[in-house]
Amino acid sequence: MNRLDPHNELQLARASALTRRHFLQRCNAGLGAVALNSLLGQSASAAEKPGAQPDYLRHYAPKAKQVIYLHMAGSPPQHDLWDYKPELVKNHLQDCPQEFIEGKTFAFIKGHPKLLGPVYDFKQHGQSGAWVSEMMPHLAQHTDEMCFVKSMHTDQFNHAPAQLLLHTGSSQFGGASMGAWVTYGLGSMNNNLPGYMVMVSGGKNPSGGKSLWGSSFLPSVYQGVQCRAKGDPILYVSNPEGMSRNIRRQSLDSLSQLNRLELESYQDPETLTRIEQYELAYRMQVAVPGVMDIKNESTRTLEQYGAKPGEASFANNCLLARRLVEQGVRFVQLFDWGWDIHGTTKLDDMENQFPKKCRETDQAISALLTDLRERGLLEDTLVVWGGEFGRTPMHEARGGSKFLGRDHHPDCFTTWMAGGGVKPGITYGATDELGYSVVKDPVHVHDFQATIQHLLGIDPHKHNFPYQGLNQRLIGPTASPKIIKDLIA
Amino acid sequence: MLIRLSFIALLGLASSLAANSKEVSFNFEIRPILSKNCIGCHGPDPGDRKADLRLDTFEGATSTEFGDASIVPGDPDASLMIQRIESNDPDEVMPPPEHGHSLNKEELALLKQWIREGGHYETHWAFVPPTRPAAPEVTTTDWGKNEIDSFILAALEQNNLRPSAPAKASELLRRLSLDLTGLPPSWEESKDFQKSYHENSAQAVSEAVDRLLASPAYGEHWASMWMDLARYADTVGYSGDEHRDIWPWRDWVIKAFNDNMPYDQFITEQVAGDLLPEADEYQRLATAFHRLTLNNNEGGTNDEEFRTIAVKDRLSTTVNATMGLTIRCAECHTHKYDPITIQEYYEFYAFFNQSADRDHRDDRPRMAVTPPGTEKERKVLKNRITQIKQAAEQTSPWTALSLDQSTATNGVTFSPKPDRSILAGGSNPPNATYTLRAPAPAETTTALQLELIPDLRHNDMIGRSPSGSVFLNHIQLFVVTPDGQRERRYFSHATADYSQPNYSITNIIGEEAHRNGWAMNHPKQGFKARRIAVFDLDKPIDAPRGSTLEVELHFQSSLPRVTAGRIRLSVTSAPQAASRFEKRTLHPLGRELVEMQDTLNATIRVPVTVELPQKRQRETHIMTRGSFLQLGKKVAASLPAAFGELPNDAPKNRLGVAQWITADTNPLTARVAANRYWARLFGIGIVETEEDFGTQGTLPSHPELLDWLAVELQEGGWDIKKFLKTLVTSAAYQQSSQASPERLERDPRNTLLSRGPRYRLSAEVVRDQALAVSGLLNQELYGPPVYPPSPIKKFANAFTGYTHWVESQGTDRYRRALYTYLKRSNPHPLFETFDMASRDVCVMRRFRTNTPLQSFMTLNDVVFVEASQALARKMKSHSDTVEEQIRHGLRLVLLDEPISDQVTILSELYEKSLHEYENDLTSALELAGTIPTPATDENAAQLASLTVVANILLNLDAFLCK
Repeated sequence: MNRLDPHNELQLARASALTRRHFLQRCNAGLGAVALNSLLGQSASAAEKPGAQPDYLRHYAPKAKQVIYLHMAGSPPQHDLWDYKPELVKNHLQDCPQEFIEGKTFAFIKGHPKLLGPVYDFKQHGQSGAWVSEMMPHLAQHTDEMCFVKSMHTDQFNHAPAQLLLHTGSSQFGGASMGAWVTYGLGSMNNNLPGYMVMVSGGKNPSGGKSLWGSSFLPSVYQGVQCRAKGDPILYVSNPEGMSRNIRRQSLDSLSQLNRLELESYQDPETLTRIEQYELAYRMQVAVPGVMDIKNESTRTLEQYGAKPGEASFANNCLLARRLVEQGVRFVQLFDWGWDIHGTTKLDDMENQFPKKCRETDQAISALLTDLRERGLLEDTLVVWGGEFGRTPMHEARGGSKFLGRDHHPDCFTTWMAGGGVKPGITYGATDELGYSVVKDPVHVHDFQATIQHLLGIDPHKHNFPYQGLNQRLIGPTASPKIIKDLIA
Repeated sequence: MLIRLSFIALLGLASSLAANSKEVSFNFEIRPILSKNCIGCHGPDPGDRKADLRLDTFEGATSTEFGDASIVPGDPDASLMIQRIESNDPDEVMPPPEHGHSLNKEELALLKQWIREGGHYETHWAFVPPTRPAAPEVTTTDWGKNEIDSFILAALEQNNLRPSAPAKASELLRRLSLDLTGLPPSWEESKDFQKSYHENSAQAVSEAVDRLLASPAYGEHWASMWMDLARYADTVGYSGDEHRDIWPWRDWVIKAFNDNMPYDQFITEQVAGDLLPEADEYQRLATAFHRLTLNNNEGGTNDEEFRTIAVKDRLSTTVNATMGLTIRCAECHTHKYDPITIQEYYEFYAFFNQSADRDHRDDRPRMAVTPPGTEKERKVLKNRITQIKQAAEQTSPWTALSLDQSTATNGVTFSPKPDRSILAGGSNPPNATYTLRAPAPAETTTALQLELIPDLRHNDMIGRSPSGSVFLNHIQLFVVTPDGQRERRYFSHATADYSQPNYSITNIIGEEAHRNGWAMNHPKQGFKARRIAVFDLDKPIDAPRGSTLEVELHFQSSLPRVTAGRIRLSVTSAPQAASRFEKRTLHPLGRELVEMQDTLNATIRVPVTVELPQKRQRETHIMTRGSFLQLGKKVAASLPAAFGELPNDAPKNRLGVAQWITADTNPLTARVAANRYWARLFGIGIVETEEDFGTQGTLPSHPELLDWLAVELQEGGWDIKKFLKTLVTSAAYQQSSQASPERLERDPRNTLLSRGPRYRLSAEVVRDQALAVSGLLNQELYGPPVYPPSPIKKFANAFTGYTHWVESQGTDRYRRALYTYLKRSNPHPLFETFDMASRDVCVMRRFRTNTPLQSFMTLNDVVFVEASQALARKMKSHSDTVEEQIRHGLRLVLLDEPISDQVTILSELYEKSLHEYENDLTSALELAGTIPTPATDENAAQLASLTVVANILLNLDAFLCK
């Protein structure tokens, strides 16, 4: 069999890198060398010239290397979890102040609503003295690791646009997701797994759909790869029925030989890349089922998380998130559906659905934090928890519903972070005594995105991709959000 | 000319030859420097403009109003701009260091030379209407087939490159077929072509091109391309992502391409077909183009908000798809780079702000469309219905009850329909009980029939909720005699034409209401088809004259709003009606009639664009920061000043806009279209940023060629087929795609076309080609979307529950990719993995990636496995010897005589596989499969081994690329 001589092959490899680098050719100061050589989105490689990374990535010391983003889709009620308001307890079922409703539009509230005090008790925990609802008994043990932001606010009060704004920087479709931006900038840390992986629980997809982990104008290599609890963990990772791994290996060897003949004859650099991609696919076939199989975790670990092999649950996803991070996956995103506590029926109310969601997540997230800490991963892993907007301190009572619940509220909500370079045991920002508006240190969704990127060593203002005549950024092409330095350890 | 060619030289050598002796070109050398470094802060947007300085105009740059002029024509050293760029003071130097970019020496030298030469500004190249340039002089004379080649050759010569040799005939025909129709030629066609090509190449190519352009597959292929631009999908997007019947528009596009509708008409009908004088059905259907916007049906959304978002999307899509301009940013603030202010944006928007749609859940206004291609079928059906009706009237066992006296709880009201059904209206409460009353019939009643009928008022679904779902928990029947006695009667048996598992119709006839009740979300029809239930009475009713029948229907589910929309009740005296209904022996003709009538009534109702009447037209206001709640100054419809005015005789509405877009004087439309066709054939546009011809877009690699093509397209009457023929009959297109180290070095991305185009095929073609070579492809044209195998069987959307992907059976599995159901929130993974654009917004070009997930797809996806199995059978039936079988497989796939190395490699693979499968019959049978015929114990090992080989054939780089 003829082979290309080494010189020729090297030249092709260089051309291959060049052509793919051209994806980015219009960022003159841009990411040029980053990431594209490995199509799992891994960052530097032999074919790239070292030092070609843009300054703003090179000179920036990251506080965190990886992210686990826990999105509670539907948006949990902050007044019933973290943002404790004694005044709200006192004024339970009293008319809300007139100024809350004057000139305001709500998604569902009509007329003059009543205030709704938290249904469950709060206690202070840890040295930080953070107030936590009794519904989160496990997480309450972690308050000294957590960094609460109680002054989050957004522009959107419908689920899909708010989720899009949070994860893509734009409330309309067409933006690239945070995970895509991050892996585009930093690449993956594992040769055999995608750099950005996504898992969904709660029985439904989040309202914003797959665009929430899409790559949009960024090369599709950077889109989140969704892992599934049932069937193939990644689509089509299994060989067809009747094909053994041995035959797959043999056939890929043949394919590689045939493609090398093609390469010799046409000298298309993309052919070389394709040969590499098939090899990578084979390695993934081996790696993915392994990492996604939790059967070999100890009984103790499984119990800590409340995970059960073979089930599709948030608890399993938390355990998988740790396994993926351990394997070097850059960005792991979990969406858990069912937090839209309106109180129209018992399927979305405060007394049935809310405790159920708390039970499903409290222990698992707590176990995740402990597990990450014990394995020394928490230092480098930023854990983020939150919804897409807040909920009203007022009782929604849609159509006179007898179930308790709260409407959508964009003006304030609480998220928390842990690990990865954030200050542990602090609370940033505050809302008024009824928890209706931010009164101290507001954090807009774009500020939050800027801060997360900053923690990862990415300059949020400069991290861009030219598309449709604009330097597109996660924080929007023109906004100038602030990095919340007070959150950073 | 020389200037522009020297620019190509710059591109080609990827090095800088600054400060050349020729005059500097503002558009090609200076504007890019200013755009990158200066215009963001010193440009058209007054909101962000720093120091009141504009550097995008000569007046601004030379103004002395606020101090020294930035540019002093003829004197770079006196120009403040140069001083500031050269400054060493970090507070003075421009651009400011924190912006992270600066000018290099060559750029600075160019700026100085430009100022020395007078600092002249030019209108952005793309805003000047194209004129046909003369073909450039070239030194090579033995190459070239038409004018295109002179332009290509001139650029190659500038870079000391020569064109490549012509492609082999087999390679050329494959390229032509895949490019023009999205399908490969057959091996027979390839052989024939090779023969005629060697006799007379020009004639052979010309005939082949004509044949391909006339093939219906041509329209399908180019329609696929248009789908990304039009953001086509079969669902409405956002959280609910409900189904939307809009596929007849997709068929309109296919037909328009196949009929070779001139491009100006193609655009006009889509943008404003409804406003054409005496617009016909298909011209109005074309405007569904604007209705492919997203609908947000999530509870609590403001319809006006999402209406305005849709209108903005229409404006943006229209301008982007036809003129390659992105104007979306001007919705919040004046454009940072291109000449459009926020006021001009809303003036432009005003043209699109007059359509009647308002983000309604039912997508109205809609138009009943006879699906193209079903006219004949429908006529046959109509005749048959008439016949059956006559027969059925005599024999129907059912008598419909007159339900005029019916009432309901919670504010629901009823109105009667001519077919004796009643339509629910009034308030739409979470739960309700309907009490249906009718005079008791004189005859004995043995059974009751309940029909739930889809109605226009309820979005063509049987229920009143947004999802159309119905849950019935209980049915009770009472006989009220004239003396006022009310006696409950019981049912002994019930049956329905569909019940969901665990939600059987029999649940609801008990003593008490049933918690689950009867649910009827049909896997295929959903809530869009009529549901029929039949209830046998345990004892027949012979009510005294003057009695009333009362039927109570209890809709008490914990899910809110699951009440029925339109109901009809009938009675019969036939015995055992329910079980006979199940066996279809009750009244077979009647059942058939209902089904046929439902089919006939199911004209597809497609959302279209309808202009509001003059007196109901909306006022348009500037939206501060783009918010529909913050309305500013009122504006009147007009075009942005930089783009001129509507043609003199044009109406002041969308039609006027369409006429302006397609006017010969429009500088962009023809260039953008020509560039797009070029890019699909050659792999990269002459302007690579197909979506951006503004000042931030990439510069054309061959500016004069682009203008030549644009004028050619316009003057050729916008004849697309003719234009494509011009492109593919150029020598440039017909070159071999073999590269060499020299060509890779000098022309790494083939922007100069030093060789023929070689690119990975698009998502649709990757699939269709595999089906075509394996003989599975079903080439039926048009029709509702199909559901080929997908690993995702069930979609769960927030708020609207689950939808199921019910796999199409039979040949619908193998329709072309274009017909695959496109769910916005969850497109078929094949298309996503192979870079299909998101269908949420207009996307002009796809980024081509090369990833391991693609490998999984073509190795392991059911469709590709079935194609491998079918290809294996074709190979096997061709010959008795393995070598010849493999040879034939290679021919079918690569359309050329194989080389011996290829055969050797695959023969070895076959032998190794055979060895394994001969010892493992179970695996052999599994892999050999059943497509299109089952394997037997005898041939399984051989077929399985050939399937392994075929699987690799379908994954060859040469197969996945053109």
